This record gives sequence, structure tokens and C-alpha cells, in this order.
Amino acid sequence: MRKEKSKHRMNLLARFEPLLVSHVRCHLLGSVLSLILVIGIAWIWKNADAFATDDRYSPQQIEQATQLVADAENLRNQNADIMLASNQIDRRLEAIRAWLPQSIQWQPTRQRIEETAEQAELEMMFVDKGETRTGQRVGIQQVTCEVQGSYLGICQFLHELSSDPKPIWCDSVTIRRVPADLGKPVECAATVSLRLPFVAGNTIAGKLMPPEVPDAK
Amino acid sequence: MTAVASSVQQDRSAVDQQRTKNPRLQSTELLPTRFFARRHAIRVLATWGIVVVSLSALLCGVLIPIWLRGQRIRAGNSNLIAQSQPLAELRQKSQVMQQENQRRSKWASWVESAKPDDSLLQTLAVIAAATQASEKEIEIDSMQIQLPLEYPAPHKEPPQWASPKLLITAKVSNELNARSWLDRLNASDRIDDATSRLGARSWSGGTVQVSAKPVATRWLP
Repeated sequence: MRKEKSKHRMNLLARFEPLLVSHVRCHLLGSVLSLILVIGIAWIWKNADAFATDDRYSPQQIEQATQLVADAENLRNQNADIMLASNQIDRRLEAIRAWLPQSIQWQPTRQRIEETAEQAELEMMFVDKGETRTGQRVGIQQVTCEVQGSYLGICQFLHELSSDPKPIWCDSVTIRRVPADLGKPVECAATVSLRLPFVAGNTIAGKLMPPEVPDAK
Repeated sequence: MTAVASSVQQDRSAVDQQRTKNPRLQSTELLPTRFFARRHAIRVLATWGIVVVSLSALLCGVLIPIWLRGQRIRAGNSNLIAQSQPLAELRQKSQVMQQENQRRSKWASWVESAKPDDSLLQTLAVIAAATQASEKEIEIDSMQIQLPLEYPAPHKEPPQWASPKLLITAKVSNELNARSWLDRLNASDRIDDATSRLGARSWSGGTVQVSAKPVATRWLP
């Protein structure tokens, strides 16, 4: 056992044999190694921050992430406000849908105009379907009609058309006095130009409220 | 000092005596100088070895905390990034939604501005109110009202069909009544630029033609 230990020691020393010729060489080697180690320690100590960094993320990323986490509450509040605003806009769109039809059906429209005139005690002379126009905001179905009756009746007719749940624009009216029999109230004839708005494809209304596509079942 | 020097001298003489008596000690003097140099070198090597090992340990002592700190920073950063990821998505979603809201709100306002109102009826009401003050002196024969219409963008000025127009033909008992009627019409917010053909030449038979521009609350589509 002792022999083995001694042999091992001899082998170890044999590795350093070239150094063991002179103690100067040992001093030289030891001092060089020590110097390298001291310089290494000093350099590592000085550049500790460079070693203790995370090169997976840039400082900007970390700064942004820190900012985000710090502003988390604000972000959530902002998002809640935006969602609220979005819901309010949805409600506005619902209100628009209530008065702005997707298309105009001529027969019911004609019937509605005639009924309104009848309620205002006016005589409907004619109702003509005019052009269909595409404006910037909505599509328009033009209608021309002529009614005859009292001035008050004409005003009531115009009022009913504009205050209906699905209101109609009256863009032009020509009112003429018509000769009346003696003792009867003054009669008027009115040529009324109407504009019925609807959601048309190439208008802002069309982009805002595209027609619902039925399920293809 | 002299006592110490004499003590050292005595020790040396004692060692010399021992050497002369002990044959083994005497034999070391016969060893080559290389042997002593080697022994000295081993001692030096061992000393420097200790120094190098100590410095290496110091190096490890410096490196390990730095490495641990780095690990902590990496773990912290990973956690931070993991926390910020959903927030970044939320922010992105909020920004997109806000832009969408702005666009939808603007469009909704435009469409709302196309909702029919009673602008024409209001103009009729203004004319009726202005006429009522001189009801017996003014008799309206005909009246034409056309509100301003939306027209395509290439036109800088509104085309004829889109321009507002108000024409009233009425019988007025005298010029003074006609002028005061015109003043009343002009005083209204619903009628602009009301003018009449009241010149000496055109004033015939008490018939007056009033032209003006009716004002609509909204721009008719």
C-alpha cells in the first residue's frame, strides 16, 4: 500500500520533471498562473454585469415588458372602456337598423304613403316610383306623388312621413292654390318629392351594416 | 545578541559532531547538488500549487454568485415576459378595437346624418309664421321648396338639381307689407338670402316673387 502511494507520488512528480530541474522555473510557472488567475478574477469581478445578463431578450424588450406589467391595471381599464364604447356603437347601429331598411319593397311603401295621405284627409292623385340612387351614406329610392287637400292636411302628411318609425325624406314640395267652390276652405295641390333611405352595398351604411347572409343549410 | 550568536554556534558544532558520528548523515553530503535543487523546486512547486488552487477557489467563489445572479435574472425575465405576453395581446387588441370603434363611430355618425327629419316642414312653418302677421295683406298663390341635396364629390359647387331653392309667388296689398314680410322671412334661421322682385318695373298688380335658399338641418342624401 505504501509502495503504491509512493509510486503514485513518483508518477505525479514525473509529470513535472522538466520543472523540477530548477526552482526558478517553478516560480515562473506559479507566478504566471497566479497572475493569470488574479487578472481573470479581477476581470470577472469588474464585468460581473456582463456575465449576469440574459441575452434571450434585449433591454428594450425587458423595459417594455416591465412597463406593460406596471401598466396592467390601466390597460385593463382602458380595454373595459373600449369595450363599453364598442357596445355603445352597437346600440347606435341597432337604432339605425330600426329606421334604415336593408331594401325598399315598393308595394308596401306605396300603400304606406297612400294610407298616410288618407289619414291626413288628402286625395292622392298619383304615386310614382322614381330612380334608385346610391349616395355616399345610404341608398335612396325616389318617389314622386301628388296630393290634393287642405294646407293643414299637407303639413300633417309631411309631418307623418318624417316622424314615422321608418321616416321618409321630403326633399322638395311645390304647393299651388287650386280654385275652390264658394264657401269651401282653400284647397291646395302639392307635388311632393320623397326620398326613402335604405342600406345599399356601396354606401357607408352598406359597409357599416352589411346584409346578413342566410345560413346555407 | 552575543548570547544568541554563541547558541547558534553551539548548535552547529553539535550537528557537525553528529554528522561525524552518523555515517548516514555523512553520506548526504555526497549527494549531487541537483538533488537539493530538485527538493527545493518541489517545495516551491507545492507552494505555488497552493497559491494557484487558492486563487482558483477564489475564481470559483466569484464566478458562482455571478452565475447564480444570472440564473435569477433569466428566471425573472422569463417570468416577466410570460406575464407581459397576455398584456401585450390585450394592448394590441385594445388598439385594434379602438381604431375599429373610431371608424365605426364616424361611419355611424354619417349614416345617422342621413336620417330623415322635418326640415321641409320647418321651412313651411317659418313661411307660415312670417305670413301670419299680415295674413290679410298677403295671399300666397304658389310655393316651391327644394332642400339642398348631397351631390357627387367631383362637383366643387352644388349642381342645379342639388341646390336649395325657395320660390314663393304671392299677392301683396302694398310694397311696404311686402318688404316687412321679406324682412320677417330673412330674420328666420331656416331661410337665407330672401330677395324679392319689388322694383318699380316688376311690381305689377301686387304680385311678388320671393326667392331664397331654405336651410336644412341635415344634408339630404
